[in-house]
Amino acid sequence: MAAAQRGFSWQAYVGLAGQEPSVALGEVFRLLGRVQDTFGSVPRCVVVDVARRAGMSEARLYGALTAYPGSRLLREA
Amino acid sequence: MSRSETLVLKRRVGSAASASLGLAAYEATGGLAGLRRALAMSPAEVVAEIKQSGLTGRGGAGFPTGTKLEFVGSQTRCPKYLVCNAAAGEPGTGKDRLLLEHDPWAVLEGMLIAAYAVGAKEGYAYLRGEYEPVYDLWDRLLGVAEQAHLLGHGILGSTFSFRLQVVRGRGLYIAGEELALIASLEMQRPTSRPRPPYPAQSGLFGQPTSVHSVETLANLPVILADGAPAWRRLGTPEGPGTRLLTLSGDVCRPGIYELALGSASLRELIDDLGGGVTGGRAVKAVQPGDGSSALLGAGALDCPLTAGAIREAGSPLGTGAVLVYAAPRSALDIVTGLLDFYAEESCGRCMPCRLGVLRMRDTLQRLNAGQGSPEEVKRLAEIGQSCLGRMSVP
Repeated sequence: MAAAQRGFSWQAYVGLAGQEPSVALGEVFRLLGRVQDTFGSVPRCVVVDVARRAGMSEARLYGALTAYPGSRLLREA
Repeated sequence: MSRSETLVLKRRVGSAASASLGLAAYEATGGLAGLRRALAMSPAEVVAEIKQSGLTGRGGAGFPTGTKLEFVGSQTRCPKYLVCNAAAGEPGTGKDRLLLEHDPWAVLEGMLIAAYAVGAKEGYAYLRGEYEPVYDLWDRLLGVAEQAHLLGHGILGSTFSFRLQVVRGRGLYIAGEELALIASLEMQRPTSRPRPPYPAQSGLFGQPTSVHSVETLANLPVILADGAPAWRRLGTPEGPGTRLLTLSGDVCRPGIYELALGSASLRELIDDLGGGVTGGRAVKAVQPGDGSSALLGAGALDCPLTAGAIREAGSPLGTGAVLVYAAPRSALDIVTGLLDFYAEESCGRCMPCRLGVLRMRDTLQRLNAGQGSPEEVKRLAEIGQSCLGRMSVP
């Protein structure tokens, strides 16, 4: 199931992330939490975007996210 | 009832001030007096006052709070951070939620006092993932606090500024450990690491960081408002103040009770406040600290509730989550259940915890199924001994 079908929209995500083009390191955990609270899960496109903006590798971000039993990640989109 | 509670931290629970986010009601019941007094003093004087009170950390380790604040306060590197650890997920503990939900302003005031004392301008409150209603409440609280000039620039007309962010964890037990919590906020994989460096030297983003538990912070407004000597009147000279004890297990009235340290014994807590053991059975064992503290036999029941006396009986007072087990329960079952939890929640960073806990659980399961042998019992004791004191999260 595509992320869009679960109520995810890029616009709504940008709204959550704020208009700032970069994500301060302390904000990443909070932002991803808010994305999950809003859309029910974190779509892959968000992980890719946040990793790029925070200047960390996608692998490291996934490594951290998958440590939490409460993380809900989506493979598609 | 021969014993009753001493309400200091719980004094606003269930009152009008706690029912809504009314800041006026909080002030009317003595709120903000501590912060006002602190802001009129220099940060060093605030630290000295807290040191004089003899308050120790209520999160588990029991380290003197004043000394902890002094470490961070004496660091010259900036920025410094203040972190409120509301992610403690020890089996059997529930006191944080009570304070966060029923007296949130006191916790916030405590954070502001601690931040002022160490010179932190930014702070994080890390809530447990399971505390969803609390998270919503704190979201609203921050809005109200900013409007009332309790957060942001120039708090209560002073030159002190503080920015607070509320972060919600994702159901991870290890995130309640201060270094794992810091790693979590930094978006690192949340695991502990060896100390030193302590968070006071190199914590969040490598900066000096002061991490305190909710109950510790909630004590600060009381200390600053009434003064350290008045606060010291409760409890014992070695362990002043009150403790929130989460009583659970085989008791008639489980709940969160507040007692002055040393004012009652474990037996009085269980019988007088907890209404005794369910079904009138005999107590078989008690864990006075939390799920990670040692099981004490019925012989330790008359031990007074102070950190020192409980430690002498063989177990730390920890987070003050008292778990009571009554007669027909099997000690094997209790320990296997607890080890199940710790095996599941191990962050996997250090060997004794990752493998030792797993092996101990497996051995216990075999013993439970009647497949054990004397060698296995011996091996179990060996593993236990070799793990003791070698885990990075004790």
